[in-house]
Amino acid sequence: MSNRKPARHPAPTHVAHDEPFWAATARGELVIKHCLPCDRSFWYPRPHCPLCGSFDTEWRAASGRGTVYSFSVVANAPRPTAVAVIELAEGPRMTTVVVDSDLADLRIDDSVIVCFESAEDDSMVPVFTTESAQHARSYAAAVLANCEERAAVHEAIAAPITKVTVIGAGSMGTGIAKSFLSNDFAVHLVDADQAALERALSDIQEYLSRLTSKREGWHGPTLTTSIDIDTAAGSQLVVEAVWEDLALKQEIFAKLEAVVSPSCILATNTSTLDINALAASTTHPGRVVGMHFFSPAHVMPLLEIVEGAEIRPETLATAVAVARSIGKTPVIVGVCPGFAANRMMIARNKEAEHLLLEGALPQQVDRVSRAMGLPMGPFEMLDMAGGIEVNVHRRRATGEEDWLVDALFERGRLGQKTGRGYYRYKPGERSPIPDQEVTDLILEASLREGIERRSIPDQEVRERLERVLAMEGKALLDEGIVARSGDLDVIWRQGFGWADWSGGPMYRATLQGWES
Amino acid sequence: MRSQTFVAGIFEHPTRKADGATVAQLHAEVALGALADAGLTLSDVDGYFCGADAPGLGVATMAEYIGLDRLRYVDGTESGGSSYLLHVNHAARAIAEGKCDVALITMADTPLASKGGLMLSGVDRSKLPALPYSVAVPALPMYGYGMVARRHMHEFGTTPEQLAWVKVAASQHAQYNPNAKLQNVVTVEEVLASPMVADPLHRLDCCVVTDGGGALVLVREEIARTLSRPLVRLAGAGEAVKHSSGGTYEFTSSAGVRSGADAFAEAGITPMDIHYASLYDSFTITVIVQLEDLGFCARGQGGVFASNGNLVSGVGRLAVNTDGGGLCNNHPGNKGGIPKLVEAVRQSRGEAHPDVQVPNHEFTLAHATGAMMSSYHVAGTTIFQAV
Ligand SMILES: NC(=O)c1ccc[n+]([C@@H]2O[C@H](COP(=O)([O-])OP(=O)(O)OC[C@H]3O[C@@H](n4cnc5c(N)ncnc54)[C@H](O)[C@@H]3O)[C@@H](O)[C@H]2O)c1
Ligand SMILES: [Zn+2]
Repeated sequence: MSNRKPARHPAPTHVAHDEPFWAATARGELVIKHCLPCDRSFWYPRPHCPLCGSFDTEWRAASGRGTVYSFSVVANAPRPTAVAVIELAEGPRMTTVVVDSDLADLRIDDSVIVCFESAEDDSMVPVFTTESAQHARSYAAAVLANCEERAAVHEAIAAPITKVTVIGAGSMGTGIAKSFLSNDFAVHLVDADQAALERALSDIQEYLSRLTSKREGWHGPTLTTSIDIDTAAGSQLVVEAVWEDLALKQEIFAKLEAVVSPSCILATNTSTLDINALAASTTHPGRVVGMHFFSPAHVMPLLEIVEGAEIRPETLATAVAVARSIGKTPVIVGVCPGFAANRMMIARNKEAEHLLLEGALPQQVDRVSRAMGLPMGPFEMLDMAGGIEVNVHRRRATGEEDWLVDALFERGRLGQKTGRGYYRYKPGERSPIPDQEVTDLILEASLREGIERRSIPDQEVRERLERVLAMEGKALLDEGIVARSGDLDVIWRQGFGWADWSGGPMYRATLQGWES
Repeated sequence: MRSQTFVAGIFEHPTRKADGATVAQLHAEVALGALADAGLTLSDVDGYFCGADAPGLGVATMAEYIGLDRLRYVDGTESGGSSYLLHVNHAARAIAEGKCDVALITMADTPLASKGGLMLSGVDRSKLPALPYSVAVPALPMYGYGMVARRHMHEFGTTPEQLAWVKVAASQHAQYNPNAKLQNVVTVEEVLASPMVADPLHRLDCCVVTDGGGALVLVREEIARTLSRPLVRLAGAGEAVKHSSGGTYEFTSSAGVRSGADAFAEAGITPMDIHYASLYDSFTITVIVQLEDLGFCARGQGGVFASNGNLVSGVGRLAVNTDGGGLCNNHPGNKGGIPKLVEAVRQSRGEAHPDVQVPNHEFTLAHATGAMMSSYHVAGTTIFQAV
């Protein structure tokens, strides 16, 4: 139902008279008490009718549909939660919660439907969700299924893969190796740096031993390591995850071509480099493909399969099939800076940064982003992923200016790893705390840009973030980088954790009537 | 029948965080404080009232601890924050019937020092009959009042700014109260900029959490006339209960409609005769609804009434909570009833802070809503007359 595991509620006390109530919720049905003499239903259940005093009452099936009489949104809840009074279609009003719904859009009189979640004693507890959230969930499930069906077609011409080499044992390479190993692919891991290799090895071994203890009778496939790239000979698939440097990656591919068989597929995990340029430097550009994982690579289900200009159909099919066999959702994308997911995210982040200059603060933009259905907002995410540093390095190449990001960088505010970024962090903790120094820098940045700050309503923040996502998504479709608009919603769900109850950025765009 | 009950003594404990003190000890301190204010002693007390948050067996344990050994009338009514207004009502009936002469009401609790949280002590929530069917619902009162606020906004167009005005008025008064937990004056903008805690309620729409308590001493008229304190008569009182009625309820009005009507009828006056009211302010919306329920303005006009500045002493037509209220001053034990009564009596005596004292008025009112306005709750209204 949602991307996260549903919470378990405290166990309700069961009493003799309400046994039919819990029997019904276990079947996924809501029953309420009805009084025969006064012909009214009442809530909450009890043996007698509180409206007339009669004991002549019976259980009746309720439709589970109702409307919102009133509600109050729980701030900072781990998932969207509003305490609400729901007026059931049968008449009575009940105090309950509306969960996993777009609460920023929730209004009195909105239609809701019951759903059931388990309590600690496995009783099923009735809660409500909005009809619009339910619609979004059906959509999200449908586009995901469609994406997987289209991917499955590729299996017919995919080459069988059993031996995989991962080059680069950094954070991505380690996660990629874990993905293959946990799905029974033997992995050979290569890194030029012995220390990096050892770090990766102990990390992976710890991960595997956790898996072994969870999976009965499972021993895990073999993992070998080397500092010599020539040991990749004999692989059927090589996934490269070395530093983001075109010359370096070209050199790696040239070395690989000297040792591997002509049928071996050469995949790159590059996020930003031109895969056509990389392919063109090889003697068999048809075997080069982008396999763009998302961090942490063994956790995030999205895998962008990047289709270069000269790719052979078998290469593409094999990459898609391999992705599926390691439990990923492959989405085929064309070559462009950032591909689909990051290109949309970079556009979104630019807009977010502009909102800071106009009057917003990181905490507002992030709060609104979470309300949109993302597990975290752009600034929390940049802090987590070291985005400030990446931004500075990227602009060193292009010469583009950004006073605010430079100012943060110069003050050592690199994100969570230095305990300070767009927020500050207590030692060893990950929860972002707004920081006056950042606020002051943002005010100064506005001043330097000559922008008069104003308070920006949450509604506007959301609309602008959603609009920029929709526009970038539309451009990706127009340029043929991505085949279907639904694929973009799958990308945001599987790559960045966009919640089902709000469908995805393109679904939102359709709801707003931004089709064109 | 004209009430013969007079308020002889009042006491509000000055503490707001009672580290190291026991709840029983605070009960004794407020009891002795109110008796001293009246010019009476422990041995004068023959009626005693406290709530379920008093330690042990309530009235019995507290009578022993405080040292009350002439009791012939006791009452441990518990209705949340309104308990003490009900105690005043009950004490007046007991005095009228000759069941006691000197009634002592005490309240104390330490949610901060004992880390008791935001719920009432002395109430076993695990046995609530609705609980099995609402285990998924966070029980904090702020969500219930958030729902009342949202519905009020929906039906009457009440705005967050109008709610904020209730807090602004309270803060205007609190600046003169050296014991108030929050003494800084706030603006509407500051209220709206405070974090949202139970949308549409912001942090500054919520009352403070404090330790402490207070006490009242009620006596029959003959005794009051022998004491040297200003004479304050209990002119009328009322109490009423409202709840979910099997799911048929609405919550844009409270039980205060009926408790208020009874109190006004007994006092023989109308809301126009009142220029000071202590109104329960667990949340800003609580005040708005009660203003309407008690007839200080028309149904749905509470927000407009507040945002026109009417609640500010010396400015508006009805000074409200001139001690700073629960929003700024004190909400001991998550129950605001006692400070409401105490400030109404101060106003009747002319003993409020000079900067907030309402001049030349005969009647004051205190009103409280106990438990949760969005489900079951108990309202208590009392009207005092300066004699
Ligand atoms: N970090 C992310 O979130 C992310 C996400 C998707 C893709 N990527 C891409 O993945 C790639 C790796 O990123 P990372 O974050 O894991 O970097 P990293 O710095 O953590 O790891 C890179 C590793 O490559 C090794 N290496 C460098 N030169 C080598 C060589 N000649 N031979 C063998 N090993 C060599 C380094 O020793 C290092 O261990 C980059 O192309 C990056 O753009 C990163
Ligand atoms: Zn009936």
